[in-house]
Amino acid sequence: MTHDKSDLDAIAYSEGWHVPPPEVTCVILRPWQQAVFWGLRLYIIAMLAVMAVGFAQVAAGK
Amino acid sequence: MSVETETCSPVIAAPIAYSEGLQHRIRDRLRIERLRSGGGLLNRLALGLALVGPGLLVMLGDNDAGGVITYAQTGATYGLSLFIPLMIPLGFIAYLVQEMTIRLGAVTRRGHAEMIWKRYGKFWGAFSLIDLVAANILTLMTEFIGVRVASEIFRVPYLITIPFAFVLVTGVLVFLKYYTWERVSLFIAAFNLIFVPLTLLSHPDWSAIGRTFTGETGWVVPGGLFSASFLMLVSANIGTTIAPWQLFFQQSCVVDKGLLVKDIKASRRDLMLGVLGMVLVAVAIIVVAGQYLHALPNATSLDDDTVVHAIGAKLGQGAMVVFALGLLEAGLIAAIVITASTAWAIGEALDVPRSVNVSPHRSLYFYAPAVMGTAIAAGTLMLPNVPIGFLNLTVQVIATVFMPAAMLFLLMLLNDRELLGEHVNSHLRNALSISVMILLIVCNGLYGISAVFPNAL
Repeated sequence: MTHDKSDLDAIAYSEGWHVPPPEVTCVILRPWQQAVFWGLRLYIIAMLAVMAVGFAQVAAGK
Repeated sequence: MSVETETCSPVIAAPIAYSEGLQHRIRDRLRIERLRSGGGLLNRLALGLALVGPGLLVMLGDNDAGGVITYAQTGATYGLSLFIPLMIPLGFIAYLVQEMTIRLGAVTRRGHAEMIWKRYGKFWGAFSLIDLVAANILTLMTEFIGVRVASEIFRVPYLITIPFAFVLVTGVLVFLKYYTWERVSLFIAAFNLIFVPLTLLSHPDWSAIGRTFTGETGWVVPGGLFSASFLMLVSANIGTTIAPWQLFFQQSCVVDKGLLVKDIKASRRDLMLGVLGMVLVAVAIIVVAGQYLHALPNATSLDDDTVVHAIGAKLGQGAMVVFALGLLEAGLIAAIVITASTAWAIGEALDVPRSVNVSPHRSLYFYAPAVMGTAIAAGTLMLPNVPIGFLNLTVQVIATVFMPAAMLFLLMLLNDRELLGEHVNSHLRNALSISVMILLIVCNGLYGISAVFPNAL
């Protein structure tokens, strides 16, 4: 399928490709959001440790 | 400002100077729009085929080599059990989670990693990226396990097939443009369905399968619902259904394909097709393993090699070859999509041109880290004494451990009205998504307790 430049320009204008997407500004996480994220990080560390123990036990057939 | 659109003139009706990536994307858009404006059945069919991609790829890529073996371990451990009907709600969970990435990508025209970095800053962005890259490299190892085991079945040394697979996986990403990359990937992904005819031809016990849905079997789980092996398989099955790479992959894929708000409905259909394929394949593998591998010793830690040879012993050499081909395909397609997800995520975090449409010499930092990650995984599997069975199940469970944090970012973005306007999540969808997060945490938590304190539950 061939496309000439005018076809590309037409669809670029009609679909808004000629302008960049709207800027995304940075927001600061609220304290409760930060607490949840830190909690999830601790959860990851704890689960990785537990998993190591668990797999060792399952592998040993306990 | 998006790097790819920096060169575009903002003046309406003036000629536009396109960057390389954007030009290819707009060509892809034009192809779709021409099909949309045309009539006739063939045209509609072509349009339907042109619009499928991200959803099918993410869900069929989800049935990766590790997933295939996890389903086989599940069937071998519990036979034709409640895990068969369980695949249906898992399919709904996958749809629930992945649909959010479609809206986020189509509305914002930005990838998942980019949204986290730009909205919540580098600190949290770096955390999510480290989680993703670590999980991706581990998951890629399980994909090369599939390649290694299949190559042994076909009596080709894995020292030849693994490098060949690495070149194929990275080659399609580096040298193809998005449209061709997607079509080639879809072609490979279609072979994921090979497990369905294999199961149909294996004379499955339909009445026993039916009873798993009605509960006539009592849904009895040997060892109990709180046994470590049961909870581990539940976590692993959830982990092989939804994983962090899928969020990053599908959103970036939607963006690189150039899908917009008006394409959300078509993208949902694409995802539904993918979920249907995923569930069909998962059930097919559990059924064949449940019927023929049930009660094999040490079933929860069967490795790929044992599964494939057991299939051969029970169903014949032909079935073994088909299963091995399926395993090879599952490893290849998953490696292709996971490598792409790494490339997109790192490209977005580094704010470099980040499109499969961009030539490698123009965006080294988009391609190089992903190729290196895949090389590490492939190189590891070329070592002689890798603990394959252990690695496989570990990776599936690790995916569930990373998932709640990844889902929390997703939910926060999907509730950001400034970004998504009317496309924000409904209350029902939020409630369901939070329930999924809690389910993941509870399953893993129970598994952890039962593993460390076997008599506590």
